[in-house]
Amino acid sequence: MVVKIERLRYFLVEFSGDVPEIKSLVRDLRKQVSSLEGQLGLAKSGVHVVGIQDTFAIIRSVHDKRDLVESAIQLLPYLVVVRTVSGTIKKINTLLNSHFVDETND
Amino acid sequence: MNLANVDQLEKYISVASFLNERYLLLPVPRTELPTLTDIDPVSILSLHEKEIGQNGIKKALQKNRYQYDLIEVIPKSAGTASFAVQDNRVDLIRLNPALGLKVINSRYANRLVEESKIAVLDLKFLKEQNSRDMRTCLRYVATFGSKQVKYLLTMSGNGPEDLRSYRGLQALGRYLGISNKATSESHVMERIERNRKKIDGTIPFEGVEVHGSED
Repeated sequence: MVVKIERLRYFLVEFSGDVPEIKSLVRDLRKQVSSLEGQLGLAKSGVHVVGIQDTFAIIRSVHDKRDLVESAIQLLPYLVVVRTVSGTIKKINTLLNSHFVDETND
Repeated sequence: MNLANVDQLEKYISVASFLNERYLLLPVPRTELPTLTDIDPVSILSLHEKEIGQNGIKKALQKNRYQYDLIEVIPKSAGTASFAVQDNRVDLIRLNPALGLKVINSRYANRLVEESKIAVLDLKFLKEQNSRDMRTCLRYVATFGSKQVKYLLTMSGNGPEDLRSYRGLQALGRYLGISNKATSESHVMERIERNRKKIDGTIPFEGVEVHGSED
């Protein structure tokens, strides 16, 4: 049986205007987490940018550090909003796909 | 959210709708508020003691009592902080880091709760990485502890790009140790509704509310 060592959280983040490149997003996010909690906090948070699709990005972190990573997202130098937070990437993908389906129907 | 420049109104409105915000605080009187479809504009008056002094605040309160939905006081001295918390016309009091723990203490927290005032906490120190102000504000929060003080979180910036959703600000508040219950948006909404009723005449006196007409 597979045992999960740590629970994860996935953030669906939407950008307004120019969407940053994945490289600069990772750099800015790590910088903000590091400025809030230092290198140890950054290591413990397990922050990771899963991917960018259109104006959305999916960011992953450890469940215990959810508030830290959500705070760091708010401090990013872009106009950004966290649309939803989920424990599974499947739900995030479903929401993302439904958003694009709605947009094409409109 | 608070506006510094009304000229950029359209930009602010588009950002507010992107953030899914229902309310937009504008620093203009009620009569000059624009009519918007999705967003409810709320007029707010911010009185800085640093700019107009204590007497200036008193005069502005007399003059603008029925002109705005919300009135915020930003005290710089103990005297103004004390008078603002007792005044019925004041809704919001900003916790200025310049005041220090001699003024913003547990007794002051009791007064805030008794007079049902809302403490405004500006989280710009996180963005500016100003650890000195952050320490003072964290000590305010720790002093208020279990006093059930109601907070309104803000993050002042230079333009519409610096605006953040209230849910995002609550995340920052949770990170600093302030619960979602204490920072709930509903406290301010109730206050706005009550003030609007006062201005319309539905609440002629404190504790009396007129329902319907006699016709």
